[in-house]
Amino acid sequence: MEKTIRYGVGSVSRAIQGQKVLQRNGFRAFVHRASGKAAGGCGHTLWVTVENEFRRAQAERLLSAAGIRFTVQAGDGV
Amino acid sequence: MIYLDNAATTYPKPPSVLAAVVRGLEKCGNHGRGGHTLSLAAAEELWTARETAARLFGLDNPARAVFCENCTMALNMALKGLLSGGGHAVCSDVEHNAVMRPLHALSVSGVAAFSVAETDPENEEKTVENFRRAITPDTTVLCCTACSNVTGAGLPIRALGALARERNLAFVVDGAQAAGTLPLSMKRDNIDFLCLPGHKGLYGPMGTGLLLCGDRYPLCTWMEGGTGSQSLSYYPPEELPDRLECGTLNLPGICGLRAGMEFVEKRGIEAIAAAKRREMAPVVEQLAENPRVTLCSAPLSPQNAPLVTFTVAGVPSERVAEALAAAGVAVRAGYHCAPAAHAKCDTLDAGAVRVSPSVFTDGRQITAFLKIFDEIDKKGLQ
Repeated sequence: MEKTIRYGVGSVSRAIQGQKVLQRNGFRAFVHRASGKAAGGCGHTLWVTVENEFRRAQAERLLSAAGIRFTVQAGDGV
Repeated sequence: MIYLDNAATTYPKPPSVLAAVVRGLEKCGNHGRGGHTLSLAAAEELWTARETAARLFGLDNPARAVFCENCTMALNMALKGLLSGGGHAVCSDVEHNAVMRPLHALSVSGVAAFSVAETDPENEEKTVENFRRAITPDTTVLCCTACSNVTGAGLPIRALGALARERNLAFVVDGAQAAGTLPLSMKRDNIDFLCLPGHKGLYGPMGTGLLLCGDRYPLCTWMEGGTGSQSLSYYPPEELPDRLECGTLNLPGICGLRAGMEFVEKRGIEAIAAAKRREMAPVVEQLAENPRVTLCSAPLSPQNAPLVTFTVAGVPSERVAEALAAAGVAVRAGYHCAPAAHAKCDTLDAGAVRVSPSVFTDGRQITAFLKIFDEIDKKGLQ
């Protein structure tokens, strides 16, 4: 079952970088602005749609390999 | 006008650069400051420009391409970011004031010291040996231009990069004249910080520049402010590019710079340099035959930037440039903000005249320039 994971990233540049890396690997990924204390103020999130846990792990490996630090802000069980 | 002052600023710009600047104004907002279409379009544009720079200069991670206003700013960010806590730098004896003044400022304020290594344009090994000898136990930074903006003479960047890596020193390269003309690769040449102007050989607009950062040395920030990220903290973000890119960027200019870099990438740096050498060959040939003229520039070879610098016996360089300007030829005279290089050329008295082509310079312009120079020389330059 598809679910959308929201990853908090350090900047809009990193969000765009992550979006491009994931899109090149067949993921649906979108950049959204986020704000609030959880985001450390203003920031950007990357919304990634995954089909299963394997794809989720793959997406996270791709982000890490690109040097993008992220936190999972929402999505578990979404 | 016959424009031969391209080492200062390339002119004209490719039509794609003009169109990109307009696109930046029409289609882009302030990147990172909003979640709306215009803001995200700006972020996309910036990212694509970072990717283009990374491809062109062998940078592994495009996120480490930092936009700034010019090469001078990039050099200040690198040198002051590395040396603000102290240390010692070694630079060459042909540096532009964009390197010499920050190092001098750090030195006179007692923050960091520096030494100058003599270059030998005819013996790369000797140049590298002189750098090696100038390294002290306090040295933390090697900094040099990739080629002299006065003579065009290339420095042995790859060998100096290897030396810096061997001695665990940060290697900062001023790519002002080399970018778009000589091949530079951060990866291959072990460059830690590559400082670039947008408006010269990359054919972008004035007011654009890049600091490309390797991942071995963090830089102290030189300016702090809003980044559109992590705004509840008074500390600047740790990650690049935001750490060094606070305040609103010159987005239309960067769109133009991206188009300029794509123009260079498409034509190929080696092809561009070869074309410029071809255009400069008759200039060297004719001026060398003139007994009143002394050539100061390095030979037209793939190791050097293809420009021609000369003096006319008994005539101040500004007078030569003025006479040429009156006849419709734009060149650069004086000291080119590089007194050390002029001291080395023994041209501190009257400066020198620099003729520099771009990819748009053609044989007809060169023929016309040489004819005009010949006429004003025969009339008697005073």
